[in-house]
Amino acid sequence: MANNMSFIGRDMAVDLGTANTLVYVRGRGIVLNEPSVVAINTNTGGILAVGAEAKKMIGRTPGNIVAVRPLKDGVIADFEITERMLRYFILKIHKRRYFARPRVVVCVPSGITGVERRAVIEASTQAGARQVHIIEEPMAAAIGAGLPVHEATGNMVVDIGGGTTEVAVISLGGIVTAQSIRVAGDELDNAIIQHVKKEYSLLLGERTAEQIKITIGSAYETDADEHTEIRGRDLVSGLPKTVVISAAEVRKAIEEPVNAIVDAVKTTLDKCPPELSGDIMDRGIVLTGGGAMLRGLDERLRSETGMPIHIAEEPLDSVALGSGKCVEEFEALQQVLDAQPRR
Amino acid sequence: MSIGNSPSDAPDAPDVSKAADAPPAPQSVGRALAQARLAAGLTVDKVSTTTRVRVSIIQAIERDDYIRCGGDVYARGHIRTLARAVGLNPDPLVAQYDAEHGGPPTPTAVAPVYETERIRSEPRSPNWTAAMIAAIVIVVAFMGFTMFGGSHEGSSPAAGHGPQPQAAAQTHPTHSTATRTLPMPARSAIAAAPVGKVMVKLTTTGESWVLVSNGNGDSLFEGLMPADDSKTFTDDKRINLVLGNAAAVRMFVNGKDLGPAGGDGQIVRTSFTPGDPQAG
Repeated sequence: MANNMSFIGRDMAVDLGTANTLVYVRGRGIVLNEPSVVAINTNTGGILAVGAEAKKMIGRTPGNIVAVRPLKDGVIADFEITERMLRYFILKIHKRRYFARPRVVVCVPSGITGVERRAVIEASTQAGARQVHIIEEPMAAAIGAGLPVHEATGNMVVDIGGGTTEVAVISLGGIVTAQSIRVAGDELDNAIIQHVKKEYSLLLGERTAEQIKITIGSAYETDADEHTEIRGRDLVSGLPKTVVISAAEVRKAIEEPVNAIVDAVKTTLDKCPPELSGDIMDRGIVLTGGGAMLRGLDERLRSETGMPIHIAEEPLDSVALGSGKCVEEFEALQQVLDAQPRR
Repeated sequence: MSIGNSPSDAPDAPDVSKAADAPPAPQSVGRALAQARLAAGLTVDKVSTTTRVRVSIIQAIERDDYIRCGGDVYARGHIRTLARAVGLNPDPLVAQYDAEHGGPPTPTAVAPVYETERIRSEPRSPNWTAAMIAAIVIVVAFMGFTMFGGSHEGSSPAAGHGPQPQAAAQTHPTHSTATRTLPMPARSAIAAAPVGKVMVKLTTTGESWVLVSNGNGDSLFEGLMPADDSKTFTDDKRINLVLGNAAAVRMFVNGKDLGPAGGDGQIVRTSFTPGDPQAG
């Protein structure tokens, strides 16, 4: 590609996720994958840490430091901090800092409102982007997973991220029907926290909950009987405490959000035009996003929908890779990237 | 152990004896899957029920016909699910499939997707970057030209002698402000003193011993000056004067008339620098 490096900054794609932010730079691939967390000193208003470093601080900060996640449910919850986080990321990948004015492609959930979309554009512009383009996450995920999206056949993709689950049927390079629910990885963590609180009167932190989900979380009955030890604060005595929790229990705890995800898939199939239903029947549903790695989720969907289920090669990177693909072919795709919301 | 029979011909025959004793590597992917399925004692229908892949597609895959799958990603996914269902390790099979079908997965080309969209091209927006750079270059070039031209003009009269004191005295009031503010005093008739140099002109009304040295301490002139004589000295930094008979010497420094250096018979030591005193 002739124009790999622009004079004013490298073109980049940002998967601005609730849990993780991935940055893809044109000609270089995914260069940055950090948790979307910012630690701020409230006395001075200065940023202490961004990304993995800040994530370690969640729930462990003294009074004058707050570690916040500026995105919630896939959309911007704290505008200013999002902007500063974006600026940090943009500067991090540019050497000539003062001239860094890249063109940016940002992924947004498909169910985003006009106001939320606008917030993304504004934040990116203020963070130093010269041009901001928006691409819908399920589309990016499908491209990133390598689905033949441009063929006149149906492709179904389920992207389970941190804040939102996107279910979409894609054909001829466009989204035919899509659903976006704000139940995803975070909601699973939350369900675990609630369950442990109710059953053991033990208060867990978000990070511990996530750890439990990753190690023994599952969505479908498996033979393996696993246990893990969890640490938290006892609500009754107020002292730190350790309990042992089984995989079956965790499965029961996260049943509700998992059901919501399964329902979303079913609803989308229900709304899908019959021709495409047939195609999807043959080809199957592709799972992407971190939630796709929840054990047994594919089995569960398989039994509930009766369709073949595939998990993308690199589920965590699909969206970033897909939007990166768009950045690589920036000139050709300008029209698509500027597409208006469908409603 | 005969592996001669192609299992793809009779995929449903539960011939368990053909079990996977041959290494799977030289076999095709579909064949390995079929054999493993038979070894596990499963029928296509059963596999289809567990994996939810349609019977016709499973049969096509076992014949190594992947067109029905509808794309590399799906083919890979199907192979993986089927392998798991029949108890094989899916990774080598997928790797083998990749090797047979044009290497590891390459991202979908996106451009053809939107080929139609490209037709209505939008008018190109002006290239503001280029415009800005051009503007900066022009400004810099202009400034450089001005400065260069100025310094040339300023240095040219450096070698020339100063004008006669009378002329200097007449002209300098009119130009005084101009010479003070302009960085190019050479323009003024009076400022025979070149830019950045000190010029001292001594005119004697009577006889006087004079010592003139420059900033480095080198002597420029030492001796008696007769009456009605005139000498001019210039230096870059400083001129030191020792006058034996101050009343008999008139000084013009940097084009400025300082009058007689002192009283009758007085010895005066003084020094001048380029900006001190200034003309006017």
